[in-house]
Amino acid sequence: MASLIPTPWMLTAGGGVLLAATAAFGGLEEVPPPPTPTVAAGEQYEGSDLQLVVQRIELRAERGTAAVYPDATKNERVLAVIVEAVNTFDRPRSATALSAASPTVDGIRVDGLDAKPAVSRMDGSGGTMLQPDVPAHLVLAWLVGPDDLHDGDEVTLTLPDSTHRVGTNVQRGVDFWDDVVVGAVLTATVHEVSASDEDGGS
Amino acid sequence: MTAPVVAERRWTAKILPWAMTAVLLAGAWVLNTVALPDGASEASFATRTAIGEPAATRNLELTVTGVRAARTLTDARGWSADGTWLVVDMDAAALQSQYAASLGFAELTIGDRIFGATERGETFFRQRLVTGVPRSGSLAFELPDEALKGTATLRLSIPSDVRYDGVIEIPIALEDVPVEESIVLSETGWTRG
Amino acid sequence: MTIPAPPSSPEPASDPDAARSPGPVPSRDRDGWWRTNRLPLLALLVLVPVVGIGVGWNEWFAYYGYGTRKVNAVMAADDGTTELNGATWGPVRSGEIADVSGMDMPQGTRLLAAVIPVAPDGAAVECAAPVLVQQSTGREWTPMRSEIGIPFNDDEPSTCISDLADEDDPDSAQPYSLVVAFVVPDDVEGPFWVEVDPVGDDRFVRFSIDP
Repeated sequence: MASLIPTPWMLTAGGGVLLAATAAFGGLEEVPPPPTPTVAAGEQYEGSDLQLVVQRIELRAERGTAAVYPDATKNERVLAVIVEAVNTFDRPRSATALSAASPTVDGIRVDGLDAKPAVSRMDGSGGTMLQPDVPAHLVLAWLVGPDDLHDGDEVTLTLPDSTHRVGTNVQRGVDFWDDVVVGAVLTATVHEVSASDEDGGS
Repeated sequence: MTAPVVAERRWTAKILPWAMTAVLLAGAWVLNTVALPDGASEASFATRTAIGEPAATRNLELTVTGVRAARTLTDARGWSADGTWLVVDMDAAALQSQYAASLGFAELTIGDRIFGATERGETFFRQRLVTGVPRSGSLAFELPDEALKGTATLRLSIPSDVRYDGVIEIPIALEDVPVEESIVLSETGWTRG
Repeated sequence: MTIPAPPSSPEPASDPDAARSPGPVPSRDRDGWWRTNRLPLLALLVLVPVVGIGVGWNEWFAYYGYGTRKVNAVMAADDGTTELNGATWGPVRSGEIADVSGMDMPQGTRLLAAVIPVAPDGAAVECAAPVLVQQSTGREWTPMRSEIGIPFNDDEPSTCISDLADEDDPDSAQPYSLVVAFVVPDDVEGPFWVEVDPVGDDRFVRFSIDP
């Protein structure tokens, strides 16, 4: 029973159609990833079920209401990023997370600093739970050496984005955010605040 | 004499599978409708009460004495913050054991959103309770500006994880809550009077 | 050569059954069920309690078996002292404090105080704060201090401390007393137990008081 289906012809024709289609879509080269969006200081960024506005970046010797303790003998200084954060999810969320790649406010990183920021409220009141749709004024603080940063330096911050999932197996019903990626990049200038015009909380 | 009996048996044999299928389908539909949602096996045991009425659940006896709202909240230590605050005054006591008994679960459900009691300032949240002796204090909930509408449900309990445990539920008509300019939170202390 | 018996011959025993009038199952048949199933039934009789006890013990051990929770009470001896986990505890002194004028006490309550001397054998011991338990109901109270307006005092510890005679010698712990006060409602009647749980295993010290 000789083959009534012309298989070799069909394979060749199929291959030809596939190549024509890939040529129409731009060829077999790898597609370059879409560029990460940029935001400016004062501009609102939405990602990871949060709305974040980075208001200013300060470099100071006193910690104010930040949750880091600079060692004066080593002339350590505090890099403070003032952020207004709104939790757009419908349940309270913490502004801090245990994982290194954090999907929440403490996932904001400064290029060049590996550490996670310490998050606290601007007025020093306790708790970093973000209530749904309630704006919170937060300070993200890192300890830096005396010569690491200066007034007027440009720093680049990365803001996190993630995907919300609801646990189905062991963590049934638990909300968590994973697949943390860089959602936006922000470049801003560091302003040095000297002790005389320090404002502990505003 | 055998022919009609045989015919009848064949007729019922044909109908029977269809009838059984219909019954099973109906049963499956009924089961689907009455089935409890996921997580119902872990649900907490709610004791419903109203403002001013005492209620008791496992190891907790509580009475909400008042609900107020304010645009500025101040605590006894001088901390102050603006916003839309709902303040709930209550008297609470442990019933059986004082060990690790503090008000650790306080949630306010308004529509689709759930708010937790604020940890800002000095409030009654996570304050120690005493067996048989009521303590008084106030909880505060920080809400978005337009949230004081509709009915909210306040849920209170001792452990922060209330699965399988008891919870006291109180409905609050948010539109009836008086809104003041400023409220000073009373310090947590023994219930007087 | 014989004609083999036809395959569908009726059972001779079924005739008497068919002839009997329908009614309750004859006891002979019921006995037959019990008899044929006696081995499985015996197995069930043994296995169900064994599984129940096994699973129950496993759960109990998972919660209580690791020596961190209070399980076994060690009552005080005649002289009121107990030797446990590296220290001598007791004798306890207790009573109701009648004069509460300077304190922030609520109405309808009384203040019960207990003093428990602790004499470590060598190294300092650690323990949780003492607990007051009403013997009849099992209700528990934990110590109150700042809530009734008494400021913290180093000489009146409510949990075990490490007071070394010689800072460099960890085995030189000195004796001290735990001083605790409990706020209990007026209608709570004694006798009570005062329980102290030292870190180490699941045993704890229990004193009986009736202030």
